[in-house]
Amino acid sequence: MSSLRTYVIVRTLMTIPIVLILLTLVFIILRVMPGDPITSMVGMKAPPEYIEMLKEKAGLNKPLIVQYFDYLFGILRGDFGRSLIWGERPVLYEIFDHLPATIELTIFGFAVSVIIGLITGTIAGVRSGTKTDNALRIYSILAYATFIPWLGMMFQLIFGVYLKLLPVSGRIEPSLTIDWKPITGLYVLDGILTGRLDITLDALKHLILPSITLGIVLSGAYTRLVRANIIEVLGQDFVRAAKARGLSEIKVLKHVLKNAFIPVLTMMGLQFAILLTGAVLTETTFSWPGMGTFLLERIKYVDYTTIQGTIVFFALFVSIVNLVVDILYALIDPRIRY
Amino acid sequence: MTLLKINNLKVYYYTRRGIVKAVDNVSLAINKGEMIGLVGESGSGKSTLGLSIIRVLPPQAKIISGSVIFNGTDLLKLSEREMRKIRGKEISMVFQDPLTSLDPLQKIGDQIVETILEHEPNISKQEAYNMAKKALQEVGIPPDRIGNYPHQLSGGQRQRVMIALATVLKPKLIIADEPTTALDVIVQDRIMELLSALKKEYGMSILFITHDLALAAERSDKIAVMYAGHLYEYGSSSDIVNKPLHPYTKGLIESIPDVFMRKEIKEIPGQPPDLTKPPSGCRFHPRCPYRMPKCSREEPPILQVNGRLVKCWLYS
Amino acid sequence: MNIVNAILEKLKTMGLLRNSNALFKAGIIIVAGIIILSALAPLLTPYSPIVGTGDELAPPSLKHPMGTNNLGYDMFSRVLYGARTVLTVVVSATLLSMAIGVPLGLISGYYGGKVDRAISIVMDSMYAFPSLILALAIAAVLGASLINAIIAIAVVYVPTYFRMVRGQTLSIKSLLYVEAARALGAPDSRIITRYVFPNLLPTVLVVFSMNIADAILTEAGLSFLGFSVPPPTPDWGADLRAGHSFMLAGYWWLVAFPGLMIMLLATGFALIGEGLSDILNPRREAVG
Repeated sequence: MSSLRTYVIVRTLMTIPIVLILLTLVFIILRVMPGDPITSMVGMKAPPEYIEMLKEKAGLNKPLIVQYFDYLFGILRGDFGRSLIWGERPVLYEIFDHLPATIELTIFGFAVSVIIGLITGTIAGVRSGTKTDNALRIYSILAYATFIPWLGMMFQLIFGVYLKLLPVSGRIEPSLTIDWKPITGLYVLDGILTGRLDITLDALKHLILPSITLGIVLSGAYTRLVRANIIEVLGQDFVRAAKARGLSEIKVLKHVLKNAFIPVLTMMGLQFAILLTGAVLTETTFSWPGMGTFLLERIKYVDYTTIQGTIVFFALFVSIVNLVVDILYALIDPRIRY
Repeated sequence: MTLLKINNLKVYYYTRRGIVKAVDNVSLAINKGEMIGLVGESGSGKSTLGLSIIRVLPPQAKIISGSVIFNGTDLLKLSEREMRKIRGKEISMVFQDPLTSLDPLQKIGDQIVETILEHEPNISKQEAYNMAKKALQEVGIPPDRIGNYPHQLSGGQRQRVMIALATVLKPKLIIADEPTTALDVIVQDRIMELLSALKKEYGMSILFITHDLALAAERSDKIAVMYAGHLYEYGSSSDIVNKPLHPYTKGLIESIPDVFMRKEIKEIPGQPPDLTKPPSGCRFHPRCPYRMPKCSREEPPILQVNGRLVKCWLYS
Repeated sequence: MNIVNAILEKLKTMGLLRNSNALFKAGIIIVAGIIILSALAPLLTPYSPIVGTGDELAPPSLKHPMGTNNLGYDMFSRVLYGARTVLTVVVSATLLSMAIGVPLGLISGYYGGKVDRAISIVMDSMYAFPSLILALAIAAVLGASLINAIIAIAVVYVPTYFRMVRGQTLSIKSLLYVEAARALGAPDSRIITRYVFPNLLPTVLVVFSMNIADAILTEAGLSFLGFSVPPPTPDWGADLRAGHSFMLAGYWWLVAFPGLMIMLLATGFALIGEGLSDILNPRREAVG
């Protein structure tokens, strides 16, 4: 299908200006800092030569335009800067150290939210107008309005402090990881790959509370989305026409779901940004060693280049995910072509 | 030979504004191989009547009383499962807007095959595909387009696909609810041509629901005129067009524009009534130029006049 | 004045007062309730939210209905005064956001062309970026203070208003009676004030309420991470930050009540938004 290929090419090309703008925005925001970042980092008492040297290292002495292009071309080469604190370790390496934790959390959290959202949204949509529907709508509003750290803390309180059933922080019991090296960084997977099922199980235990917290709050938005789409599709003529041909309820429902879930899928893709926001809050609440905690730590130490590199990474990450989602959408819906 | 007999059907809609008496005590008979034009304004209840036959009404509608006898069975008493066997196979329906009546995500061929396999599970998929191709050919769509999606076809072609869907299993009755309203006049004519041809070829009966009396008169054997939930006149097309008996029918005919501008266009004064509070007595009386005092007090009975049915006090 | 009249007309046709439904009313009650209670704070509690009472980590009791935290602050007082902080930040930020986003969207949507495309692509890029992280970056750069929190949150939501207003403007622009007015030679300023602006109102109101709900959560997130108002200013998110470790030791009241309030206030605004949306877009009537 050449039209599909055209779409993929055009859509990918469109990502370039978007990414450029985001990168420029990040650059602008971080340069707006009153005073200078190096001094904020090392404090006023440091000798001026030391500050100068660090500034030189961070390239802050060059004219702004030069800095801008250095920055852009650096990213193109995969150079996200070097940490000003941890012995000039490339930011990218540090990001990859912490990324798997966030990925694992977001995968499980997303899964939980999708399951809850699809089920409740479909029920609410199919039974629109009834008490069940109203109850589910209220659930979705409450879920959406829940403050993630608060929900996480309540779970920690009940399951960790009172019932002592589940761990309240971290990814894994440290004692289990002596003499053990992860492969992908996703502990659940790595446990299986290295034949250490005890690690997989412990990782899962640690994942339960954070994923459910994240999942419940995110499901609020999904429930509303799925419900709205199901109602809209149900009202469409082809549902009645399908019924008029004698198709069974299940067959008709299949048509309805396929049509309703497609806009939901795109929306979910766009919700990736919201997923990341939620992940940051969840990580902080559960002391989860992921990107969120990493970024906050570096902000505290004013590790300027790392902060910049990390946010740039976020921007790229989100753009690529959106691109992939849009392409998937085009694959499924034959109407989307340029 | 009577194929379908609707007796004293009452269908009401339950809305926030009140109970809409969309079809109030309507009786109608359709014979084998006949095309009946069911004519009426918007809100007359004609669509509701059509939907009620195969019971695909929206959830806020309820069939209150009456019977729909098809081949000796009362369709209203059947279970949903038994009803499904009838839909699409014995009685099928063609809807007004073909773009929204087809699943946009499924190829047209697959939609036809799905219908075939639903009713004849013993047929092989290959055979079903051949049947689908033949059905498309019969309605004038080249069979190589079987892999197209609905949005890849024109409006007229999509309606043909709907007709193919409705006729592939050779039903005895087709209910066509304003099948040509969303199409331009030239395409309209071709679709009507197609329906007449199918009717002749397979001896199907067609209940042709429309607001266009002229269109109905062109090809129907009989015409039924509905207004405000009641059936007011029923007879052969030529009789009704040449000598309309009911004042409403007369008004309809007089409001048809004449191409040669031989006469003035006269419209019927007033508006169709609010069906949550229909007028007392004869529902047409507020707009009727021939109304008598009796008309506002008592609902007229259905009378037989010269082989026609008329619901009007003028003929008692 | 013409704009005012046009707006009043639109509000009347929206039938806001006649058709209020349950969701909307519930939301209004919650929000109004919280605002009133917060305004009456000095009458409801004798304690100051930033002065220690001498009772540290006291559980809820008649004296301290929501207990006290590790510095002896009365939690009930902090909850009531915290509402003021949260509302101030959030409402100011949202208004600021609207002040920038709405006119930009109007102009972009109405005049179109290269300017529109340029602004749109910037806004789309911002819209796709995680809101909290963006706000975090801005607040981190500017420093933690009330004003900076307002600015950070305002910036994050500009694209939301921009996109919504631009989309609406585009569709209103193509409405027949607007085209007719243009054909009759009405000047752009008249078109915008008399036609486009009042028609935007319903959607803007819905987005406004939903947005405040979202902004409440973003503000809470910012202060939870330590980037909003500096302590000891009473703020619900900040209370969760400070009380987290104590909660894990069993002192649940340090975080339970502030967190509940965040949820309650956000729910209130979300209900208003949902209710408004129902009123303005009546769904198909279903049989009970």
